[in-house]
Amino acid sequence: MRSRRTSWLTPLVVGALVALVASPAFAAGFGIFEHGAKAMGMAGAFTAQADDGSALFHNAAGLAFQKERSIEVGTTLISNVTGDFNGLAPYPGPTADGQQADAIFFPAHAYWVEPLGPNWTFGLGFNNPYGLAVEWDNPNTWPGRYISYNVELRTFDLNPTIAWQASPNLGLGFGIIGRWSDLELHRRVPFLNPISSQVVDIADVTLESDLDSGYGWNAGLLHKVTDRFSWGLSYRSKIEIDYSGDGTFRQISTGNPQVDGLVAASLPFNQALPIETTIEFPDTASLGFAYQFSRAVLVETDFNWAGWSSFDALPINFTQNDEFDSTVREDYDDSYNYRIGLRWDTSPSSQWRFGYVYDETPQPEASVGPLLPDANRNGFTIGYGYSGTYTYDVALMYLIFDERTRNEDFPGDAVFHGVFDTKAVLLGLTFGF
Amino acid sequence: MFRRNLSIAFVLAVLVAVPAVAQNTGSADFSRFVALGDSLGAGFVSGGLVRGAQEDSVPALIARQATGQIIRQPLVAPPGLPPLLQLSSLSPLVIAPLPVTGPPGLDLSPLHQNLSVPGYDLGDALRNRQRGPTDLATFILAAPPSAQPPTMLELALAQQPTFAVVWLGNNDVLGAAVSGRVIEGVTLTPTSQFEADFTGLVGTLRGAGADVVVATLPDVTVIPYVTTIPPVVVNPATSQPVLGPNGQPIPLLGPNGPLSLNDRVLLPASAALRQGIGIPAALGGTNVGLPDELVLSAAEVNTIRARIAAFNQIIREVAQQTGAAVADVNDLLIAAATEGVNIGGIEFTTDFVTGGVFSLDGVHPSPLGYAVAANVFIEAINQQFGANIELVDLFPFLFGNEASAIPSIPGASVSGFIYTEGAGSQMREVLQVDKPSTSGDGGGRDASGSGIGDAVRAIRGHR
Repeated sequence: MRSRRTSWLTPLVVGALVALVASPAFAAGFGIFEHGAKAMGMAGAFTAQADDGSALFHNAAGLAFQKERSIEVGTTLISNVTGDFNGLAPYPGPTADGQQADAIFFPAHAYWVEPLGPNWTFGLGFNNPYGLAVEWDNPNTWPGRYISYNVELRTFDLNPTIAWQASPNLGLGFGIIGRWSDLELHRRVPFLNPISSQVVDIADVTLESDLDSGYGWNAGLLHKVTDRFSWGLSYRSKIEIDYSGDGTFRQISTGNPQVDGLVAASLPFNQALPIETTIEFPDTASLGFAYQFSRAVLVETDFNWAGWSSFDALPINFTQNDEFDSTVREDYDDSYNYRIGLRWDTSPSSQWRFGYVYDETPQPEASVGPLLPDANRNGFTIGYGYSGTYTYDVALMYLIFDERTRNEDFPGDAVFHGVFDTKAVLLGLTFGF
Repeated sequence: MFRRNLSIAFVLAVLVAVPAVAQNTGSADFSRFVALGDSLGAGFVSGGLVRGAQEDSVPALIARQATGQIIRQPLVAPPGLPPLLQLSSLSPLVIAPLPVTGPPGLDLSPLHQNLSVPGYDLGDALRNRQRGPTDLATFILAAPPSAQPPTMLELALAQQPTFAVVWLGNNDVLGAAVSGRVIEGVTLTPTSQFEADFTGLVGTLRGAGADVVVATLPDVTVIPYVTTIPPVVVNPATSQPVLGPNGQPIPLLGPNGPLSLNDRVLLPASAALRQGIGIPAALGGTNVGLPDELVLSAAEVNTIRARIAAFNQIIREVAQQTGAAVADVNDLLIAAATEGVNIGGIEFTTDFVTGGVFSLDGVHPSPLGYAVAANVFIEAINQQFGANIELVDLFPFLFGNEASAIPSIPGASVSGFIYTEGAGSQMREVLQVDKPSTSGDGGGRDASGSGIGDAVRAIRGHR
């Protein structure tokens, strides 16, 4: 028993190794909601179904109805089609623009479902529920480089869960979430060169945290009211992670020895300066209703809430050099998203899926910027699944962000006005054994 | 063919109909624009007037953003009038006037739209008809020949203005701060007189049909000219205060003995301090106190601040009564002095030389500082007149050719500086402050001799 479990853990470990890669934020804020191609095909409207391993993310109570051992592994390939910026007055002004670097990201997921008896099911989930990767082309000219030219936030969750089938049509689930995360930020330091009277870059700053952790919990309920109608409720708690790490300044020559000498005397170059920061990841709740219209067609609609007001600031504290401390004010609002999915069984072993999501941004206008230009988005999905001796699911999502214009600032915070325009394509793949 | 010609005509019509800069100016009419002001309105930087900075003066930027037009201003060719102060060495930091190469190059055409005269206070704008040989007004308020020279207000009204920028009153409080002396009625205008004059000036312009924007007066006790030199003995090698036997900083000597920590020492004291004036004998000084002209006592600071608050109250009330917009320049200055101004991640402060908001004279803003102030005016105009005038693009002021020759070093520590005798005497001349009796090592230049006097001689030659 013991050795078998260990071998079953192998995919999870492999997943953990490959999965600590950055992901752009593809649920509003910097959340990621695509953790299984089946649910993704229905735009994530899955709380009242939760009938595969991704129940470990969407609704833990779904495990209570899963009576066979399964292992699923998968990934979601995310590619930004566009990430453009055009400046507005007063700064950086209408002549300034920027473009996000092309990149492909692949947040991973792995689920192990193990029935423990007639009414109890254990599960272990792994995924990357939050992520941020915003890299702007050409750090030498990107007008937002003094705020950020490259930021990466990586997370992964291990989520052991137990579910209980309380009655033939009622399931309950509860889990513990362990979250590991690290954070990396690159920016430039400006200097108004008194010789040239122009702003020049004098240093490149890298802020890099260790892999730090935090803990939380989740719970779910799934009620199959009739053969045709079910509803579910799922909650995941907020998790705070305190990060520690290093900040390093590297000098960039201005070409003027007198200026460079003054700069060299003013900044502690090439030393690892200890830094600290904190992120409070939001709690989330999902309420879903599923209805089987015919033998072939099921429709689910979900209402999701995220307590993003937990994310009020990103403070970066240099514990021994507080003159370099900075705080990016965020002041996020709680947000909602609405999902509808359609499942169409074309045969006992194959399903087509379609979905639509409207995802409301939690980000207030004044915090839109080089670190994260978020916006309300509309997502359209199509998916297909096959189940036999093994299963596979694929899903494709086209995500269109509303154009986001920033024309206001938090008092005292950096002025940075402009229009951000983002589009993305997501391809989900999940294999089950 | 006919159809094609029609479409070309249509395209042409559209092209002609759309102005170069399509701005919504709301109910404000910018067709005849004038500005009444002082050195701030004139775009005075680093101790002088010079073309590049004048072209980016606050009135010029407002008009350019609102209409796309360039206003008529009394432009001065480099090195400026008086010649601009420059950073002649970074380490040690030396600030001195640019060398004079010949008579000033002046635009001598009459009837400028920007009528701002450095040194003018509110009463001058209403009543001053002097055109003395060293008066900048002789050049700036140039008018067609008449029985008597017009006042600034008369010259503005002669242009039948539809829009007027009124940025006056700064010199009604600045004199007290930069001369180190509060003298009621001389360096500080009495409140009752300010109220009568401000009401009269704005009322006259409104009565003549002009839309008006006014501005609050900046707290002149937080400018670098006043805040840079601490009232304690500083070790020039470390830039740190010298500590006495009790571990406390050692105060400089003022006109009445040791200074308090709330007293201010003015920027031109730099030259006196290098001669040991104000420094106790035990620390190698002359044991002679700094003269009153170089010290602003804590009590004088409080008197000036109270007067500014009273004037700003009057400015707001008059604006309220007359429907004028109010640009809260003081709010901007206080924000810059306390928290700094963050533009795209670049932090600007009111620190001397290093801050970026002020120019090298320690009194007047840098071109960037003026551009940020112009945006405060534009926001006020937009709000009051339902306009939607685009703000000034600050990017060229940081990275482009508008950055001009005004240095600043955010984030860097500058270990001591030298504000030369020449720079000090130029500023005292510009600010109409008597030269301190204790200075005068012979190195100072007479600004009127090399700058303004030449300008007026040039005007006379022209006529």
